[in-house]
Amino acid sequence: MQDLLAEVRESIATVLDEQCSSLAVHGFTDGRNALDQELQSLVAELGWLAISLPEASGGIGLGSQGLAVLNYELGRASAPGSFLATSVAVEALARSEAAGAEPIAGLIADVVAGSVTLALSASMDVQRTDGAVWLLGDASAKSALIAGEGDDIELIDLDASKAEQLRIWDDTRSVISFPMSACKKVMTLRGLRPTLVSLYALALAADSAGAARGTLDRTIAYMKEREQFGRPIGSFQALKHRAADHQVNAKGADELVWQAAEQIDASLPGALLWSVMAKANVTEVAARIAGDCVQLHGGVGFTCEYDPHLFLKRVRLDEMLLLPNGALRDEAARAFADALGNDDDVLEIA
Amino acid sequence: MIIDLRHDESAFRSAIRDWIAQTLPSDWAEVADRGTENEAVEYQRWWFGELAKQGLSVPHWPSKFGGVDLGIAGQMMVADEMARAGTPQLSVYTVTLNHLPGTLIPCGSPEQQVRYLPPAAQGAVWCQGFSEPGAGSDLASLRCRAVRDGDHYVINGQKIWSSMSRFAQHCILLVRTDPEASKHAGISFLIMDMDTPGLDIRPIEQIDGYADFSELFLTDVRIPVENLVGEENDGWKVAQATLASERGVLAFEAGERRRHMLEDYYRNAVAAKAAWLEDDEFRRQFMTLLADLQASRRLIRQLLRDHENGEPHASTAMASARIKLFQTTLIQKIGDLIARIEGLDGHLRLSYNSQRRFVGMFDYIYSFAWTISGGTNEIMRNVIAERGLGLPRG
Repeated sequence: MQDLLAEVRESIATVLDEQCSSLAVHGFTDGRNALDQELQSLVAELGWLAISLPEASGGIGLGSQGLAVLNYELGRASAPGSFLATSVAVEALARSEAAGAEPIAGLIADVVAGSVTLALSASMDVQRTDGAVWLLGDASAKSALIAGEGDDIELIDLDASKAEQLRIWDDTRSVISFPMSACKKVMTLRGLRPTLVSLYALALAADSAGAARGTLDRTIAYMKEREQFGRPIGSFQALKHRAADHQVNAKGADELVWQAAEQIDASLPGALLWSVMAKANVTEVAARIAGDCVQLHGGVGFTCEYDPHLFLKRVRLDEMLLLPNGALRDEAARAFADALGNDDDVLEIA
Repeated sequence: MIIDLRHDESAFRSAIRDWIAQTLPSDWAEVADRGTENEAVEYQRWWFGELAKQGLSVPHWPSKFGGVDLGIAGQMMVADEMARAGTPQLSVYTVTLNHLPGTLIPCGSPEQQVRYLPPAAQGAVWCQGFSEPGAGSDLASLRCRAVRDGDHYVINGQKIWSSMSRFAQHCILLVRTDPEASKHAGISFLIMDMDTPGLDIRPIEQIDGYADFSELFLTDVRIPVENLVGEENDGWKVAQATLASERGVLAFEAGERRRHMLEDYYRNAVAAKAAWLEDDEFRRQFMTLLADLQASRRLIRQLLRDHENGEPHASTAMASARIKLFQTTLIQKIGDLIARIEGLDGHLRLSYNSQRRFVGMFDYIYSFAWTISGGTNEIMRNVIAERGLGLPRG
């Protein structure tokens, strides 16, 4: 399984290095190409959305670890598109009790084939006063998962003509606003919330950890090239020490992603706890790294031409999605107290 | 002996668990906390002796010197069980258990190995005389001078930060034998008996009130030439072996102990309905650090797996540097949080002899030992940036 995961990661990374280079992403954010659509076709062709899915749903069964690898690499490349929302939503649907029956089975097949994308509630708790729901995903998304009553999740169909494309800071992703009145409920997925929250949190953590890796690698390369006072700026201790701290913290962040993924896949009592803690810690670490990578670039870090701003805006969005990190830590604290009370060892590492 | 069960993990672990429960008094930590520092060291000696009876004192050593060549996986089982039970920490034996065999097995003569290793396995305490007032992070600039006089070296100079040297019988000592050579080339590695005339040991009172460290003043100290480890003027290479001897099992045990301490702290807080649990900042920061500790424990396990799989030294050395920086920074953050949670009560100076739980300000104050020793964290950052990330030297 670990070998297969490493192979999958390698192949995703290779494709993205080629197809989703810095140049291509800037072309997309400048409106000169349709990289998100091109990647959408590529992802369907290469079957990336089937990586995590169970074999019963036509997937290759790499589960949460597969989901994490995919989103990590997409984050590392700051890939434009609605893959995070789609991959999380389809994985949650595949784990729902209704996965084998229509309309969900058909929806999963369409997603894997690349003919439809899915959206996710940007926030799992905020009820907007204007009667709209904000969704992470493309305006053309066919369906979305939003919070229902208690632990229930609602699957809703979307009418693209009613979607309002919001203009957000993160140029690599899309958030749309939808009037609740235009949402058509398809079905209630009973008790799916913990599963969805875990997967959503994991994917956000993976995307952020990948983005932190991506911006840090590029910043270190820049620090070796850029010269001032007759020497590369990376030779200055005040800067290289920061790079070393980021390197160490990025490695720690990666571990939290794998901790969460392993717990979800093994259905351990700590699955929800570790996913939400991973999201909270990793998005914050990534925001610190991505912010300092802007600073370490100096003047060009403040321009749109260079990469650091793309990553900074991306991880800042990750940080705000799903639920505020404080609320996630509160949820984790309750879960930890419960685990101690039940003698569930949620700190054990296999 | 319990060590004979090592090939059957569950039997091995449960034997260790049962034996600890029968052997270690349940109130040992309270007793240690009430006692003196010297009594705490005596307690370590007793505990080491008990471990030795079960083959658990030096299981990682080669069999001809008293061990069973226990591999890293087995060492992790032992360390894990000790951490789980909160047994006394063997701080007085750090050099004995790791640096001594790490030096003598690859670099010592057969006579030195036979003479020193078996007694060490039975509890002889060793200390290290490396750093000097003028040679800290820049260790190779050390100046403590050794001059050959017949079949002895005559040593004059000063050493500092020599942990537990007040309690030691022997010292591994770095001296300068050739002051004309380049700084790495004129160093030799010696073994010194701590009762040699001319050696003056002066404890240093630390910021935590303890005096683990001492300064060593050497005035015409005579050390037989047979106590030279490796070749004369080749001591820097020997010292590299010494410093590479700790492969992460100590960091593993430290991480595991902290895991249990944090878990107990939270469990006790929940049981006592502690006020800080209702404080959003404290509660959330606690969870943040609990997650970081998990990340740190995973990184250490990865390092130990890499050692077992024989990964190249360059890669494991870099992982060690990253872990040192991550884990010690984290320990300091945990100490900082506990100090803030404990508030004014945390400023009462209580004993920390048992090192078994968070005691007010103590962990925070002591955390600077972690961030400064073993290569300061600033040196770690240089190593990570230059050798790991390939950033140019300044």
